[in-house]
Amino acid sequence: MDYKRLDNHDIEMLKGFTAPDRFSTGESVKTLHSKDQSRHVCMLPEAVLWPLNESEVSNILKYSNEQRIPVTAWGAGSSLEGNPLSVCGGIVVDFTMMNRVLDVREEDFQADVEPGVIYKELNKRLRHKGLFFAPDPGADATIGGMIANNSSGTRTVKYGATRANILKLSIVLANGEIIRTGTRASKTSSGYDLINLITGSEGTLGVVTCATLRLRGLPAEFSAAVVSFPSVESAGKAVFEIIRSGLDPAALELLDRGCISLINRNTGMNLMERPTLFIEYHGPSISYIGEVMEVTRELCASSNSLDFRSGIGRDERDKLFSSRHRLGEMIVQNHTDCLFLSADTAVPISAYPEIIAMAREEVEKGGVTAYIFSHAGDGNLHLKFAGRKDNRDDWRVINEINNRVVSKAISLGGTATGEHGVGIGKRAFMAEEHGNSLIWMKKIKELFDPNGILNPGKIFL
Amino acid sequence: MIPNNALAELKKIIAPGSLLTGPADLEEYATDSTKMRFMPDAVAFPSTGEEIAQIFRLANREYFPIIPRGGGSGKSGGALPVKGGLVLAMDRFNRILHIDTENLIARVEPFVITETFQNEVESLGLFYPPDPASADASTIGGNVAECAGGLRGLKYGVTGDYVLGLTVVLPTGEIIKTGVETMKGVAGYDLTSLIVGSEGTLAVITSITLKLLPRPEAKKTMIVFFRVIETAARTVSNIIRGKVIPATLEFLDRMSIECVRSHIKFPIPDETEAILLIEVDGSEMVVADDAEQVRKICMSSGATEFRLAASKDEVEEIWEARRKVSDSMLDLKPGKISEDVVVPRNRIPDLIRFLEELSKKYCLPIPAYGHAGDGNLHVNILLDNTPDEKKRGEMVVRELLQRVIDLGGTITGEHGIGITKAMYMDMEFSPPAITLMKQIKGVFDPNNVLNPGKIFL
Ligand SMILES: Cc1cc2nc3c(=O)[nH]c(=O)nc-3n(C[C@H](O)[C@H](O)[C@H](O)COP(=O)(O)OP(=O)(O)OC[C@H]3O[C@@H](n4cnc5c(N)ncnc54)[C@H](O)[C@@H]3O)c2cc1C
Ligand SMILES: Cc1cc2nc3c(=O)[nH]c(=O)nc-3n(C[C@H](O)[C@H](O)[C@H](O)COP(=O)(O)OP(=O)(O)OC[C@H]3O[C@@H](n4cnc5c(N)ncnc54)[C@H](O)[C@@H]3O)c2cc1C
Repeated sequence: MDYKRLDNHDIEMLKGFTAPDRFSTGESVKTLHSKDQSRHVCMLPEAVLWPLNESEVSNILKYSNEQRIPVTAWGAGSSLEGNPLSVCGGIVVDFTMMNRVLDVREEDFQADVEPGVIYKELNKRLRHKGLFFAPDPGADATIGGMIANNSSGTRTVKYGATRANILKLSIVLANGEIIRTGTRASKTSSGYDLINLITGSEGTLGVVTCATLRLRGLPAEFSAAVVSFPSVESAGKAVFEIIRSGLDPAALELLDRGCISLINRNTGMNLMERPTLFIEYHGPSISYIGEVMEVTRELCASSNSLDFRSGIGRDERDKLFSSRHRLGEMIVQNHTDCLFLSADTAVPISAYPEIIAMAREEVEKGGVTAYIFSHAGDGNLHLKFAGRKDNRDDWRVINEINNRVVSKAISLGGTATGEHGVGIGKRAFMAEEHGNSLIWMKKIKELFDPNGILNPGKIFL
Repeated sequence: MIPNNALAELKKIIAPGSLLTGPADLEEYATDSTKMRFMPDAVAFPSTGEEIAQIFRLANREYFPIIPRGGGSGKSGGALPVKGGLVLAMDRFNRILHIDTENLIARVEPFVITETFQNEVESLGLFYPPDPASADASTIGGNVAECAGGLRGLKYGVTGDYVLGLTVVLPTGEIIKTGVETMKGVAGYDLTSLIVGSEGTLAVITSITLKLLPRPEAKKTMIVFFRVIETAARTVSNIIRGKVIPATLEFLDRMSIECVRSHIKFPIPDETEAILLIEVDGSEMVVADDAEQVRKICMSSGATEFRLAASKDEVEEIWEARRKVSDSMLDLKPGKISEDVVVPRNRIPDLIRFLEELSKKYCLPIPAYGHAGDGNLHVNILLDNTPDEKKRGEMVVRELLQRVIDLGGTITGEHGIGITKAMYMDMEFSPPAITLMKQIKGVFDPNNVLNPGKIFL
């Protein structure tokens, strides 16, 4: 595709659609929007805009479409695959000023929000109403970015990924047209399901300007446990047993020894430095969860657990989960001279012990630094590699391992990306995973965005 | 019309004896549970995806419609050959291919009857929750095509929530696989969800990968009587607010009860205006607690009587009666228009009140029943089929759907648009949204050979 570089006229027009103080071509602003949390090289946009409402967004898109100017949406820039980077230049539309919670309907378990709302802020506001929005990626992500990436988190094993928690969207299409899709009703079989097409499309089919979210009631009771294992394989096996038995955990996180020692160092906690599961249950009564915990203890014991500590109080549980949420940052801070690559495969749960064994062996053989930690209950495996910035050998080995792990996952019936999205980094695996259905994804892209202005250079090679 | 040379070619594509053309043989395929009637030109029984692909290539060349058909229980006319053509009866795709008890996944062909599949997985200690009241007649393929809901939607969601992946034949004759066998995945666009609920207008489904759950250990079934209909409606929200999520929460108004009364053996208190049928499931312990909690909430909300089903037989009797409501409506009057509206749950009392107004205003009986826990009511406008009543019926529909949309709802919760709701699409969707959907249809089916005349006017 041929794109136009911004000229003075474009700049005047775009400024006019927003306001002088909500438009910038300043170097520092552009630099801030040139990288996400991945290792992908910086890519500078030509300008950054902060719209305030849907009609501004619509004007920006309509004009950009006519002029063939690439438009990349920006939430918090916390992606791990280069998803919000301006591969082909153009403008970044930053949604952080569209951050109002428009309505909370407690009775319906629903909230209408703008895309720039940070989900953690939303949950703070909802707390005293006894409600929460369940998907919880380990970053200060925006609702718009979560919808675009179909993000997950520790709660996904029980409450689903972002997709399962969206009821209605307002979308601006590439040509500036505004459509609303979905309903406040709990279900619908009316027309084609555009919500699910937009969700997970990484800002390549349309831009989200408003979302009706499905909220959940805070559980009446919860209970958490920390369980240590001799190896990641035995922990992986326990994960399989727990899911298979239908115990329905509200979180089931696996962390290898390296992660635990990092957490100990950063938080002053004193966890046993062994491969570990963080497990949580939600339920209606203490006696019920107690019973479930007992079954869990037996299942873990049959997978050779070393230590099983349940009955953890709210404070410690909050500390555990907040350290789990901050683990990504801790790893980054622990290796200031490194760049990072996150493998993010998911496999059918029975193949989980196998993929995790393979990942561990590969890392050991390759002699590289990598952390294994995962939303294990979903069959998701994260392998976060740290490679020294200019060390070619590190990166050669890391890339080789990454390719082998992803291919293995796909051959086990799994996927190249469980939650981070395709972005730039996973494009190469799309053909292997999707075969000829990839063509139909491209056709949909062409239909929605014939001029290819929306987040070009993503998903498809 | 299918040209004669095309018919001859069709015979070469599919196995001998797999093509019906005699008018008497076609009769069965001319209708579904809407009772409308459109004659097909022929009916084919393909047995492989490749055959279907060849049929599509022929249809694109010779330009005749292809209409996939499952159990024919559809309520919006999705399987009807409104423009003639070839009905693709999926009957031979009737195998359960694989049930993976480790990963809680199953792969089935589309013509597996919903109930057969439910029973099969339950015998393995597993559970497939979607449970349309037509489970004994509908197929999994038809359920996927309509994104069918059912009696367990409140706690367990709808068919679409259980579809992990599909193999489909596209109208251009290509066979593709969509989706994953993992619990999550975000690689690329979600083609699976696009085909789910597309009412057989984007692709013919030849295999379906479904997610299963472990079977709940226990359940308890309750029947609760109300003297004031709005009290019953309000109780629905009260239960959910009380932190109990029943698997099933069904509502029946007085006329709906009337028409299945002969199937119910337990006594119904005098002056009952509404019933809630409630089932909770889970572990023994949770179920006992939940049932008690439900009882308390119902009684404090103003129920006149609460009854816990005493035996398995009684439970079966309750659900049997519930399943019969739809068909029994026609015992009250010769004609009906059935609507399938959904509103946010706490708006059900508003909707019920509005139905009473409409009934008075247009002098037509308008019984309602349905999946109240989902906010989904099946509203039936009963008619004597006189031109005047039909006209009034149409007016009721318009007013009803407008109110539903104003309340934040949708014009069809689970039956689909098909032909019966096509003229109301523009009430729910703006012109650009409809255009976009039509364009998606155009991408998959450029010559409009697959199930034409549905969804879009
Ligand atoms: C430490 C760390 C931990 C993480 N943990 C998880 C995790 O547990 N699970 C997980 O799934 N992810 C995780 N992530 C990845 C990331 O946080 C998520 O993908 C997140 O949803 C991105 O949101 P964002 O607001 O930062 O979006 P951005 O990164 O700014 O953008 C993401 C994508 O969304 C598009 N976009 C943004 N706003 C809109 C809009 N309004 N309309 C259309 N498109 C839009 C962008 O163009 C881009 O393609 C983690 C990241 C970090 C750094
Ligand atoms: C008494 C009664 C109760 C009902 N209760 C419910 C209920 O509780 N919940 C609910 O949701 N529905 C209900 N229904 C409606 C109906 O049963 C459902 O819509 C069901 O999903 C239809 O399945 P079927 O196999 O009969 O499909 P059909 O009626 O044969 O076809 C329905 C649609 O699916 C398409 N189709 C069928 N097979 C395929 C395939 N292999 N590939 C592509 N497209 C295909 C057809 O073209 C058509 O558009 C009820 C119906 C009756 C008669």
